[in-house]
Amino acid sequence: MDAKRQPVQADDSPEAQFVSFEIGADTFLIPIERVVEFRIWSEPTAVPHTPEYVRGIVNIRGEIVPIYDVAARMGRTHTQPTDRHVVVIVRGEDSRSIGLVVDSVTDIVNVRTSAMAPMPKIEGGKATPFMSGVVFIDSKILGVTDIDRLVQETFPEGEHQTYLAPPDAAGSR
Amino acid sequence: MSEEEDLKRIFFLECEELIGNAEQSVEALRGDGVPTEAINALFRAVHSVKGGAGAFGIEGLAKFAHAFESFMDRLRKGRAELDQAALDLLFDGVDVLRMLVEEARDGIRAPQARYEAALSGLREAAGLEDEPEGEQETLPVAEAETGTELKVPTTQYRIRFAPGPRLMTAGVDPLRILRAIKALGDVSIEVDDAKLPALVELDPSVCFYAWTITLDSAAPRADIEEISEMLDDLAEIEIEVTCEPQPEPPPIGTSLAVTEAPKTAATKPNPAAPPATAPAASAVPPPRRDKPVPTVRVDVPKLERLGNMVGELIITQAFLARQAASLDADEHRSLFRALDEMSQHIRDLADAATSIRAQPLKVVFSRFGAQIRDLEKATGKRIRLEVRGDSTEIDKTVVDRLSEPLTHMIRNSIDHGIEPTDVRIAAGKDPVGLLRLSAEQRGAQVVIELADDGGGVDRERVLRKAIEKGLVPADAALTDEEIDNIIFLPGFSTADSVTSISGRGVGMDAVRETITEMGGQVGLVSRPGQGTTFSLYLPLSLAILDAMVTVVGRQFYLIPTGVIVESLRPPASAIVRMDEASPMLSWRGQMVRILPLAKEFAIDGAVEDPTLSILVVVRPAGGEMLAIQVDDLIGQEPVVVKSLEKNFRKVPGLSAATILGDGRPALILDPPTLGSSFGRRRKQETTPMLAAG
Amino acid sequence: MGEPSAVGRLELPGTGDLVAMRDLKAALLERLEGGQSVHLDATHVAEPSAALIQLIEAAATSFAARDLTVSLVSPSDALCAAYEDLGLFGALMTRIAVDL
Repeated sequence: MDAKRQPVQADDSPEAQFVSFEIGADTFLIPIERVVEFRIWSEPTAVPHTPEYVRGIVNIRGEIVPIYDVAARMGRTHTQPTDRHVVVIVRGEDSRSIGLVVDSVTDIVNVRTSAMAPMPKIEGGKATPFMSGVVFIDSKILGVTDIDRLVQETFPEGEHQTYLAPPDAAGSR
Repeated sequence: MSEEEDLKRIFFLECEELIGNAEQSVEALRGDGVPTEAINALFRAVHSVKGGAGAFGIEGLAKFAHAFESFMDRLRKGRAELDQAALDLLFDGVDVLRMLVEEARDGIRAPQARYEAALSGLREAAGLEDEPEGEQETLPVAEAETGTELKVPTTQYRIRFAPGPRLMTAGVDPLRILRAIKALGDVSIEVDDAKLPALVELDPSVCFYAWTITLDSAAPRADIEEISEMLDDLAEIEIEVTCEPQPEPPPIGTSLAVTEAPKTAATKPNPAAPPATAPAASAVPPPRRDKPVPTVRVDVPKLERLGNMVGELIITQAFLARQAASLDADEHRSLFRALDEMSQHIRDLADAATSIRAQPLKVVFSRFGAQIRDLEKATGKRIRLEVRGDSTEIDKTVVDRLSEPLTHMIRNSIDHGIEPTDVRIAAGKDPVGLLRLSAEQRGAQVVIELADDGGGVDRERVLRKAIEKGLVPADAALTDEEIDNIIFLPGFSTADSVTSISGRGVGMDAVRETITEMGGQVGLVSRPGQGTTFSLYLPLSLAILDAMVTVVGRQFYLIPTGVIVESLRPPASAIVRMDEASPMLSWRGQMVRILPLAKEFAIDGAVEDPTLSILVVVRPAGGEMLAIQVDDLIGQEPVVVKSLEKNFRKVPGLSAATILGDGRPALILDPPTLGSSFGRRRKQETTPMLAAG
Repeated sequence: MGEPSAVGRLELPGTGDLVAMRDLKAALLERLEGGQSVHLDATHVAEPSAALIQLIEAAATSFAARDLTVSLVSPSDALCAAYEDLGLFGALMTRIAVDL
């Protein structure tokens, strides 16, 4: 990594805390204030007519919470989660909650704001639209998951939920 | 929340009731029959609003109510005629009254022009034009009954309130204290100004007045003493009970006459004219009172918690039942008996909890009179509204949410259903169109119907529009019923139809959405040339739904029992295949489409052969009959409905979700949107945006 | 201060807070000492307090002792309601200026 990218340890910049989780070989971060709890994976109730990366709904203390498969959303081949997978329940800006299925949760990290940066523009690489920024830790660049974006995607707003296909509807599955 | 805010809140709640009564009274005046009762009822309602508004210093409302009350007074004394112009004034008046209450409560400004027009109309009719607006002509209070008090026994207290020197500088206004006491019941107030010094010696930040208040109140003693406690040692408050609870509160006139004469030695000439003129013989006979039913006010959040707890109880009971199912019934006879009993008790409890939250529909229905008049003017059509069964009760939260969809429906009927007057005459119909709004409880549902005697759904026009908008394939062969139901499709409502009320979706699809969200259904029946009838089927209890639990693959799916006609395992002879893709069930002489849930929801591991599965025949309102194919039936149970849309998203074919006894969510089917025949599958969701990395 | 001049006019403040009351008292005293009757314009009194009404009434008494008057002109509904709630409705009736 370019030496210039090494974060300067400006010691009085405030710290932020993140939870780090892994999917495959990659590590991602979630701002800690967005994390509600962790759960062991258990099979959710599947909901029809929803995209593949929405695995279904679960009951958390009497409330219905949708479960979102981040790996599937990023286009990776998704394996069937087992009880060794973890579901991170997160809360969006609007207080709606979703659960994210991840391989494992690894750590809680403190990061100085001086080490945080907005999403760099990388052409055709692994940068996904689901990252709201990046963080430099120990000479690694880690993506910060854009929770609000994920929440928004799970709860589509507006009229595109019509259940009538346009007239061509010839079994387009 | 401060005491005054609390009291204000109670006042606004009471206003709701009062205005509802006012609306009913005005509606009654429209019909035939002796108007005396309605006029008196209306007078009382307006009088009460005025009183409360004055107490809280809600100036605009008090002023308006005063003018209104003055006019009502004239009417009931026969000094003004109840002609059409008067009726119009009354209608308008109640509308504006409501708007003013909302302005005071929610901050939504009432339209100024409308307010002023109504106010000046009422003032003129009441003969108030020559009085300056600020002056309040107090009416002989003895004749005015505040008929909407809590009908519980009241206690009479004598309260002496003497502010100490530090009270006002501590930020407490004695006026507020007096109003707080006033809000607890009926009061008469005497002021003692003996200690008021000359101007030059007066310290304006010290209160030199003292008061003796006679209070008739049904409030618990604690509420009254609370006022005293709040003041601590900033003022002297002595509370004395002078009269124990009586079966009925004494009319206001009496207590005023007894205590009005000021007993204090006035140090200055102060001809305190008693606000009440001699009550004496009032020509109006006291209204007949029914035996008072004790009532209490309950906060809605408390009711919701109660409802939730009952819901949880039901879930736990279902869980227990499931656990017990694996035990030997003979060995555990008493256990099973106890479980049965408990199940019955819980059902009774659920019923009782439901009825607590239930309110009569007249709360909603009574508002439509005014709306219809507006629409009459706007469209130039003539409409008559008949209301039946408005004492039918339904869950309070449903009642609150019905106003909007019903308004949409009424507008729809008037816009598209009822023909213009000349067309009606030409067709040999009564020039005045009829709208009949009725409500009835049928089993675990409340059915609300809006029937018009208009021209019915214009099927040609509807179909054409639907094809134009791409909602329906051009070559679709649809039954009349299917065409009628097109109006419920999202995207159908047109810009040239009615304006939206709240800025949300207009038209019948919004209605359907709202009703389905509540766990209900909408349907319609149309007869060309004769009229259209809309039916709303609403669960009696919002939160708890009776459902049949079925299993498909390894998942449970619930079907509301309200729509189930029959469940059966069909013999091979009953299965008819029109073509490979669409098997039909021959059932009681009808062909019913079989809907394999497994295929519809892409469920693996389900039973495919219909003769080895169960077909649940459903007849949903607003949709075709279906035979839903499931693997098996588990049993019928009441379940707590959890909104799917709120927590997740709206899914076609599903109405909501619930938590089963095993703690896992299960989905509740929505038969009208299952397998709609216009093409079911949505396009696949957007594929992942990047190549797999 | 010479002949009593034409009736003085004071506008009552919108609220009856204690600070405003001090100012009002001073203004009233000035008129009293000047031998001038006062019309109190009460059109804009939106949030009256017991302090305000007490002041008006005390002034009325003191003025009356010198054959002067304190009157209320177009009292707002809020002020009327406050008078009523304090049990001073009769005083209000006496206080309202009639010849305007």
